[in-house]
Formats: sequence, C-alpha cells, structure tokens
Amino acid sequence: MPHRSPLSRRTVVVGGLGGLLVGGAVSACGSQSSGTTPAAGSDTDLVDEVGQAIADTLGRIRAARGAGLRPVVRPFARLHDAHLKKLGWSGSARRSGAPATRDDVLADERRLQAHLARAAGEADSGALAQVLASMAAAIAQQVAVTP
Amino acid sequence: MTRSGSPLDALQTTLAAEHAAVFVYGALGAQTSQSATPQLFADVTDAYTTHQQRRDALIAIIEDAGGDPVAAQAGYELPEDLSTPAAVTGRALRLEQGAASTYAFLVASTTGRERSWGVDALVDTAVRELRFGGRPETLPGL
Repeated sequence: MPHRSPLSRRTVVVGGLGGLLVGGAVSACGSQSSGTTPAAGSDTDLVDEVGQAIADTLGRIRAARGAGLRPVVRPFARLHDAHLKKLGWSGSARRSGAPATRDDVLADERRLQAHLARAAGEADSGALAQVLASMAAAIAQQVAVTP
Repeated sequence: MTRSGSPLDALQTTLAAEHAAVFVYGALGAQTSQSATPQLFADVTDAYTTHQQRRDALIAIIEDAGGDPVAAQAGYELPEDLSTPAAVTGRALRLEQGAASTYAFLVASTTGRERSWGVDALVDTAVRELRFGGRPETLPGL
C-alpha cells in the first residue's frame, strides 16, 4: 500500500492543478469554462483516485517483461509520467500483476482511458474535466498507433 | 462567436464549428480522388459523415435544452489551393485539431450528458487526427 499523507497529497494536488481546482474557470486554450465554478479542493479526491489509477497502470506496464514489449510500453510510460506531472500526483503504484503480452498492455490502457473519461464526467471543475478528457484522448491516440 | 457564457452558448459554439466542418469536408471530398487516393477519400468521407452526425446530434441537444440552434453560414473560407492530397490532408488535420479544442471547451463548459458527449467527441477526433498525419500528443485539444 502506498504511504502518503492526505495533507501532503492535497498540497501536491493543489500545487499541480491549482489553476484548475481553485481558480477553475480558465481552460488551457484560453477559453472560459462556464457553469463550473468549483469550491476549492472539491475535486481533490477525484484527482487522487485518477492519479492512483494512472500510477497503477504505469507500475504494471513498467513491470512487463515479455519479449518485444519494450517498444510498446515506452511511449505509454512517457505519457503516464507526463499526466502524473500535470496532476501533481506523486504517490506510489499499488502492486499488481504485470501484462504479459501486447494485447494485455493495450487492454490495460483501454481500461485507464475509460476510467479517465468517466472521471472527466464526474469532475466538479470544468477545467479539470477537460484535462482528464484530454488525457483519455491521448491514451486513445497512443493505442491507435501502437504497432 | 465568443467562447463564453452558459453551457448552451458552448453547445452553440460547438454546433457552429460542426457546420463549418461539414462544409469544409464537403469541399475536401470534392477535391479527393477515390481512384487515385482511395484511403484519403475514405478518410475524408468518414470524417464528413461523422461531423454531419455530430451536427445533427448537437441540433437535437440544443433544441432539447430549449435553444434555437445556430444556422450554418452561407459559405466558409477555404484555402485557395486544395489540388493536392497533401493540401487536403493538411486542411483536414487542422480542422480536426480545431475540433479537438472546441470539444475540450465544450467539456469544460458543460456537465452530465452534454459533457459526456464532448468527451466522446474529443477522444474520437484525437484519434481521427492520426489519419491525417497527426502525431500522438500529451494533451490533445489543450
């Protein structure tokens, strides 16, 4: 199990996504996100849940040892690292089995994509919602180009 | 059209973008040879159909919300030269990238069913970019 202080986790989240969780209204493309003015920190639990899901997927694919899996796993690992950085999430992955084949990796990634899409629908902050939706789209792109 | 206001405004902005997409893909299809570039023709045709369906879906959503759907403009600006597959592909890619930004805006501006629709559209468009020479991005649409 990861050992993370809720207080430090929240600090990290607000630090990484402060503009989304507290300010809330201005999107990355400069547009105004309307109808979603969250209370400060109202999405903290959601960010934590999503960060954990990404970290768990990252941990599993990094543990993959199957023949020829490196080129499949590497771009996903880079993507998940970037997304965790965007979320400001720095916890540990929970232990679980590593994928053995390319299809296992892609199935794992599709599950994470669905998780992110669902989380986008649940976010109180519109700005966070679009980031989570974009992360789901990024995974879908990478799945589509995976040899 | 300004990008601000209510969820209904965001839906209207997205519909306006879909009107433009349908027009542009119609023009791109007219410039694409089914025999010479069958894959490009298939991709453009598929994109045209998808944006038509999204346009129609948005009209229904806006009407359900009590709005009056914005109409298409009489015409939209097109690049002067669409005579090569590369020009068609490049225009289609820019269109999909613009659509991704619009859907991301819709996601940020709505909740519930409308947001879910926007998420699905963003994911689909991000993948469609790849057919037109796009490369995977860290945060498509943002």
